[in-house]
Amino acid sequence: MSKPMDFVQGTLDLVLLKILALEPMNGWAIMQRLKQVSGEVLQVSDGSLYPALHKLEQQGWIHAEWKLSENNRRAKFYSLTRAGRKQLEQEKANWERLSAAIAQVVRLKEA
Amino acid sequence: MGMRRWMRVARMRVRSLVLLRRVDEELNEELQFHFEKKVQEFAAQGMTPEAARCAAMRAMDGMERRKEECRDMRGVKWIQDLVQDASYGVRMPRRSPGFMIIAVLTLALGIGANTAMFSAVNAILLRPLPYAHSERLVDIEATPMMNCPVPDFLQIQAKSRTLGPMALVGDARGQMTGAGAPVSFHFTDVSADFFPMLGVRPLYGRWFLPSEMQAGNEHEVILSYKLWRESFGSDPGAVGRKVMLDGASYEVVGVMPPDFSLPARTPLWRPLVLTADEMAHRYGFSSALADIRPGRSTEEVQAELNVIAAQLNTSNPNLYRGVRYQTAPIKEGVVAGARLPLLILLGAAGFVLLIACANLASLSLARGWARRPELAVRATLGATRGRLVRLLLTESVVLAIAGGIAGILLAFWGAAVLRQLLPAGTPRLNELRVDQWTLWFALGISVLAGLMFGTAPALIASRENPHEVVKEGGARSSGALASRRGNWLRRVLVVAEIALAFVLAAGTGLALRSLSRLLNVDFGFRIDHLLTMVLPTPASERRDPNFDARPYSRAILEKFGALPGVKSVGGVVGGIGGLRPMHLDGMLDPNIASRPAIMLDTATPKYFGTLETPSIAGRDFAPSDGQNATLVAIVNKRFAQAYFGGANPVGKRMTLPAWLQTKPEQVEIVGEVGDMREPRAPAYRAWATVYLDYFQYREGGAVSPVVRSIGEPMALAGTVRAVVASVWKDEPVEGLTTMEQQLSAGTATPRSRAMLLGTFGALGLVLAMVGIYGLMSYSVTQRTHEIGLRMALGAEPGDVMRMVVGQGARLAAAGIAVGLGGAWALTRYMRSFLFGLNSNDPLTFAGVAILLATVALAASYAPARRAMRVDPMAALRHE
Repeated sequence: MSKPMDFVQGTLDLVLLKILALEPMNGWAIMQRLKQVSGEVLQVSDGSLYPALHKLEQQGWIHAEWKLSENNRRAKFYSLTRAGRKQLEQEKANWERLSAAIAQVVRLKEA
Repeated sequence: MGMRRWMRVARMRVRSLVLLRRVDEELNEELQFHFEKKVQEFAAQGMTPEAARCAAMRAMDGMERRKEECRDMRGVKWIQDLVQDASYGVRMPRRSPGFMIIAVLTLALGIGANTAMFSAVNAILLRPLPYAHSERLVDIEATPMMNCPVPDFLQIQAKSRTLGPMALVGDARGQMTGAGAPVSFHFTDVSADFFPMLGVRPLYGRWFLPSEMQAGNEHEVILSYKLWRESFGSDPGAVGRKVMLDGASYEVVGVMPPDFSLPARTPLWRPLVLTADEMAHRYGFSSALADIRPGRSTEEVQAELNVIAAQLNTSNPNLYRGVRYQTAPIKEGVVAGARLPLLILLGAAGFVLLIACANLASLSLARGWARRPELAVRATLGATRGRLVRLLLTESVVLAIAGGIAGILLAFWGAAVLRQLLPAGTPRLNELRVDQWTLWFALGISVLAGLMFGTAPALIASRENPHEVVKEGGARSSGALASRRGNWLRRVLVVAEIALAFVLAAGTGLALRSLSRLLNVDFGFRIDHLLTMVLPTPASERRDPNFDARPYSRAILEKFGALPGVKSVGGVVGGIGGLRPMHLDGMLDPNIASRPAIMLDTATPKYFGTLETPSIAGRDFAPSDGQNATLVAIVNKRFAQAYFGGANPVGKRMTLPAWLQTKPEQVEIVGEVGDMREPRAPAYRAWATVYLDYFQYREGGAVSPVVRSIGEPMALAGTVRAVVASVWKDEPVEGLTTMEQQLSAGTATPRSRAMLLGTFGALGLVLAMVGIYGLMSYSVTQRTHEIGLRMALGAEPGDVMRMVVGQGARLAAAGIAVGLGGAWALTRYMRSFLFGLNSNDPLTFAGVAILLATVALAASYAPARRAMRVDPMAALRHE
């Protein structure tokens, strides 16, 4: 298995917002989902997820509330706020522009 | 940012601050949940529970650090840190009481001195004058006349569109009878808009009515608070009473409050009503106040005044050629003279605070060094450098605020002292108090001082590599980077302190030397046992052109001479002990215009003998001179030098100028006397003077008697008043005082300045001495090992002594060199306050250099003694 890829600067926020757009989730579940949808290519170390989530929460993009998890244990569930949804659209557009541009550059034929 | 999102963010911040514990518990729970999931995952892979927990712990990569990172995301972290650091700072005294006490005391002195001085600067220079919209009030001055003549005032009033109400303020002189003892004084005539424009309500009574501002109806006066207190015994019933001004009757209609004094120290105000003649021709002293119309700028006013002046220049060149009008804020006229002395004192106080800060920076460096182990532990536990710097800075600022609070208490006392100590002529002294701006200022300089003395030590202390320190186990290390930087900085600080103290001491030295010159002036006559007074002619008699006061003067002097306890009596009009002097230029010969101005005084026989002025040549005036056809004169030495080249002037003749209202007359010089300095003149100027015989030359006014007493001169005061009253009804006796009192009143201002400056100078010197002592003492402690080694290798105690004292001497020399430059640049601002010496007086500077060198050496002596007694064996074993 090749090494999991580090996140490009700023893209962790985008990924987290996108995953939370699907449904409200707790931190553990976010990590599992991240591994699953990216085919284990994208990984964050267990701890580093939480500072990023707290930052998004402080900025008002996501909202947290305590709910019971599947095995009846209290867990903190994050969901996207309205402002967060707008932010996601914007970051998605940015990302698409950037990745398209990079793809163009990479595909240039060498002489 | 959208409104909803903003609200959400704000709610989060508040929650993070207020529900700190709950938020932290939630963070714990959230991470704990993750941790347990992780353990389950590893256990499912077949690990033992124990191994699974370890693996989960490793995977989470330091739970505490993650928590700290999460807390950093909250955006209010800095507030929590600040509170934590500050509470740490507040608890500091329990850990190092000695440091705290010294620091708080030093800061209290520095901040207290500055706060007290600022309260004066604020009350006198900064606060608006207590008049309605005083920021719009201006003086209008016509140059080259230096005041505003009546016709000019009327022109401006008629033409200006940018100026609102204008008031004409005229100087008047007269004698008031009918309330207490007769007094004569300068007072003020004001036009109708004066009081309404300033908007200050009387304490009792009312302003003048418009009807009282018309010719023939001006029979009212308004009293100043001071006159009301002194001549009316603070009687609220004074309103309605009648007083006589120069023989005319006036009714008191108002009493102004104590803060109202415009023009400065005027005793009363009278309606100014102009006759047609005065409107056209009155050029005597008067000034103009104007209220700039709302919305107009001073530039617009000035531009308009320029236009008016230009019109007048063209339409009436004979009268207005070259005339210009200028405005100045009225505050300028009130406080201008007080500005420089106050700013000098504030600057001196600022220097004291800078020295205090240098001391504290030096102390903090030493403490930072001692706290290395603590800081290293903090760094190892995850505190970043920025976090450490913030901790140390917060401690400094907390300390500075503690010092500031003590300083504010000192400042309340200091402001009371300043009210007493500042020269009595300082404007607005009664408004001086510690107000809220002063408190803000104190808070501001406290924080600033904390940052100033805390920054460098905090940066240096936090630079330390924690691993090094922990390895050493907190023991001394001689080569650490921080230590070397710290020592270098400490030396710079001491040099700066010595330099600052030098400038302060130089200023003080100049003020003291100037004062001592003032106090030791040879006036050219004997100061002690001399009673002086002025006898102004009563107004009724002054109006009579044929009135002759000489018979009264003769009778008064004769009766004075016969009093027991009186040794000798003389009299003068003009100069010493007399009235305002007259200047005469080029009275002898048009070719001598460049020679000094001449004073023309008249004196009685025995005047010079009473003052004990040395006679140089010729004789005194004699009673027989009265019958001679030619006028006789006595000249002083300065006159003889200037006009006769020092040759004996006795027997020479000269001509009086025509405007002296006698027919041009020949005067014969019969005597020459020594020069006398004028005690009330600026810098005690001595003038070239010609004295005529009072009884021979028709003077008009009464003589000012000088009485040489045998015992205490003031003991004669009652008798003297009784004699004058018996000879001349309603004649006031003014300025009855001793020559010594007159002189000490004249030196009161330089005395108070020298005292205030001296206080700051002494404070600075003591603080600098403490600073040098602290550095030398610390450096000896740090070098104990090195000194022990030197001594083990054969260095004598004397060598060690020389080494330590030598270090102190080098620092002192550097500080003195820098200070000399600073003093050279700064003392010139004192030039106008110095008497008889240059602002770069080399003797003063040399003295101050010796003083500071002595202080520096004395401060290094005790540490040097300690270094000498180092036991080499103990010092080396200690390693």
